[in-house]
Amino acid sequence: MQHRKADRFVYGYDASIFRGSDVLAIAFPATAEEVAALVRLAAREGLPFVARGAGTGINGGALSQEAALVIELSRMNRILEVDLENRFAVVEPGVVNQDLKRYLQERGFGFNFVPDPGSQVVSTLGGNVGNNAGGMHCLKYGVTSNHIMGLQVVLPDGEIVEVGSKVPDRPGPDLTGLFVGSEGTLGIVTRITARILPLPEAVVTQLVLFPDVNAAARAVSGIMAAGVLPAALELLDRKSMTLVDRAVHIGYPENAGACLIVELDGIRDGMDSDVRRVSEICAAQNALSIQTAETEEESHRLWLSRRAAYGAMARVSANVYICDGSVPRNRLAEAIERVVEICTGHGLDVINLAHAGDGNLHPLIPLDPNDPDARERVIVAGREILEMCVELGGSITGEHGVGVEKQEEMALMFSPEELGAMLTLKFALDPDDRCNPRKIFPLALFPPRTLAAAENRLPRDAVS
Amino acid sequence: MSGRPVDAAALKSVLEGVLGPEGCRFDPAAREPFALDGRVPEAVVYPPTPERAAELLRACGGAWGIVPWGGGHRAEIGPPPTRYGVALSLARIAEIGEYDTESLTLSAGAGTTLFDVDQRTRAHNQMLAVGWPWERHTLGGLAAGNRGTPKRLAYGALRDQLLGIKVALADGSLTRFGGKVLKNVAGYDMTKFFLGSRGALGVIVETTWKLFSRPDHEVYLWAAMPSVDAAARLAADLLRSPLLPACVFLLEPKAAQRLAGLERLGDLAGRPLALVGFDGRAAATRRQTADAEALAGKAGGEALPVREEIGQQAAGYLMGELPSEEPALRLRLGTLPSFSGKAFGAVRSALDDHGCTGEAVADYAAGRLTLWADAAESAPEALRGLTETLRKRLAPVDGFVEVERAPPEVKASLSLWGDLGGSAKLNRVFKEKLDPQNALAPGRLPGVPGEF
Repeated sequence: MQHRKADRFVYGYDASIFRGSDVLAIAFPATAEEVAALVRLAAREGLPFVARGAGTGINGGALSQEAALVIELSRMNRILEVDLENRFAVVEPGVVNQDLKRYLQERGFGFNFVPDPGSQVVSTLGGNVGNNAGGMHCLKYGVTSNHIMGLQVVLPDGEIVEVGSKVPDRPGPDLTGLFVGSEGTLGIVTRITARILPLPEAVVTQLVLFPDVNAAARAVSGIMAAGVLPAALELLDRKSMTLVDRAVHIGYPENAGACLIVELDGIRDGMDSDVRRVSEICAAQNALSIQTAETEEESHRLWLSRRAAYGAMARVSANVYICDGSVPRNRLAEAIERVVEICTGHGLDVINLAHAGDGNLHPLIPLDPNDPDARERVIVAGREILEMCVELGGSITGEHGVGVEKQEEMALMFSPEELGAMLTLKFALDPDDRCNPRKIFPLALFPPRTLAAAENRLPRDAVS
Repeated sequence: MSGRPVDAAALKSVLEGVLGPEGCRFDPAAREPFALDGRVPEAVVYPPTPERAAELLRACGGAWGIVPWGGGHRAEIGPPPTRYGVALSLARIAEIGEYDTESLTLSAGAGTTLFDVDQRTRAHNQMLAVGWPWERHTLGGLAAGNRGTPKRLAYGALRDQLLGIKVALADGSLTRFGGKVLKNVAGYDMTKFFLGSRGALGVIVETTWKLFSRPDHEVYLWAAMPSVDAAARLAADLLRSPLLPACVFLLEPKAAQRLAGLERLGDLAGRPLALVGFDGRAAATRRQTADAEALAGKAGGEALPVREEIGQQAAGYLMGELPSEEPALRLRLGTLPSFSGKAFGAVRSALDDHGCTGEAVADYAAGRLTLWADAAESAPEALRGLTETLRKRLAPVDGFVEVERAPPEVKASLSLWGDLGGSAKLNRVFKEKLDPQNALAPGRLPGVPGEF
């Protein structure tokens, strides 16, 4: 346990641009039973509680607006079982995404855990599960949810239950699917059964430069129409390329207005014909150049332009607002164009990255947190971008989640009945809204607070 | 409440009030086909739109048990409803709505059949990869049943392909979740929540799916193996190799006999078989087939390629579609893939122990065995004993046995799902809140009693 003032202050922050209240105390349980004991204690005392992984989420989901007990899962970081024959790994929620990948790699198993959110070197699998994190390889392999087979969950009443399992398709509703992405509002995940997959035999990465975003987007549609299913299809606009160039010196030509990274993987035989196909399609869309990497080193270099993008932002701005919306793939170019219009209209700069294959936009808006006027304009522009995504048939969040950031925007996508149905499930398990309270849904839908969450109510000797 | 007589006049007036006489049938000939374990509904209704379906639920106000119907293909799964006033057929909500050939997504009414989707997508060289284009499989039924896909290794399970859903809830509200984008994490993933909900948490009226481009080639290979264990080991070797099979099915000799009539299989019949499928470009399928043949050879087996349509025909059977009349009992066994060989052994000895006959097939990667079994005069005791023995044998590997089809007296005398652990509690809590009158498919949600 930690309850020094400084600790309680620090846990009022996470990787988002938001600030929560000081927390009541921070607990570091080592087992599911300890988590359950903490949750039961919170139930008895009427305290809100928030599960926390690495705090890398950017929707403010790990923060609390009221003094809450933080249950930090970083000590629960064991890889419990790896079963190659049945293709799963059982892990605790505090395992860092990259650590599981490294574990599989270092032992030469020839398997990988595929989900690779940008935060993978620090974010935990518990956090990935809570937010149903995405990444660069969702087009072919899906989001986190598609890789989770079962969960052990401590419910808000302190009961430990198992949903899903190592054996798929159990009778009844897909409750694993419900818990994944519920942002810690339905319970606390204490064990994860994750699918692992054999490494592909061959991987080819291509970096293609186009005169503009439109041409790149047309190439994306063309590639899919040709029956090629790339593992990744990433798009950068001119501004991101300039930024990346300044950071890692790739040397993009002046006339390139957009760049596409295409990764193909699978069986070696026939791969060359797909690579050729992609090249032809890009050429038909006036590609300026096509580089193909066949070794891991070359591929790493081509990927650098994408992977360096967030870091490169630090050169132009102390902070950045990362938008996250998705649109149907064929509306991508239009969406990016409108993002630029919206930001320009508010006097803001914007840099566009996108997981183009799955229509997931990531406009980055440089932000000076000390300029309240600019901050307000960024928030308004962010909302307009989300409205546009919904208008084009997409979503207010492709992979970062709702948290506190977009809880009011949920009404853009869902009717009162739809929000009501989701909240019915929430209140069925957590009638007092103590489990990561007041998140995801518009605040007005939560009943007035009756909790006695006074700062000093946590009995310090209650947890051993 | 199961024995409570239905006020026929009141029912008629409410149903016709929403759908008019043309949308409702009360005559026995129309109702009989909707019987579940001998229970016939008082009425069959055919709402023409999702809105009318929702309106109907609102008008009924929980007064009668309502069971949603797709093509009726697997309606026998689950207990009979404890109240059965209305069969709600989705046959008229069967339009393919938005088909986005560029983004590879398709939305269609719940009553749309796989056959219709196949016709429509084939023209664009695309496909919905959830099963073969059978006429009685509807999209809504597939989502509500969640019974697996034949080529999960290549295209994923249903949960990976269903992107969005429109559901009429018990209170009559019409709700839409998910959508037509691949990445969407706004709010709870209600699409998955309703997947496998068997009509008991809401009426699925529309679904949106991820499509795939059709593979250039679909290649199948039979491998006759010296033993069932060897067949299972071949499957394991294939899954550990760099090869990317789309499906790996296993057949014990008894099941292999059934397919003896199929082309070339005559030579192999009587031996345990594996059916391996590869989808993709010519060069990739050629190389993989050769490698798979070599793997089979190394394990003492003999491999033979089969024509695509024969492979599909066989794979239909392997997904649980019997070409002829079904025996009394059909069980769906879930196990770890690596336990498949032992599970076949357990099945064989349990059949013997309980004086039953039967045949079993497995979808290796899904860890699913389908067992068709019978006993002399369908003796209930034997069939029940068989089920319970298999549950005990699979428990150590976290397996399960679902009774999918059984004589009513057998169904009534045992749990059809076995122990569902924590899911039972959650299913019940959610059911009570979403459908407090217990109007939707009462008794058919796994783990939840028929009356609460």
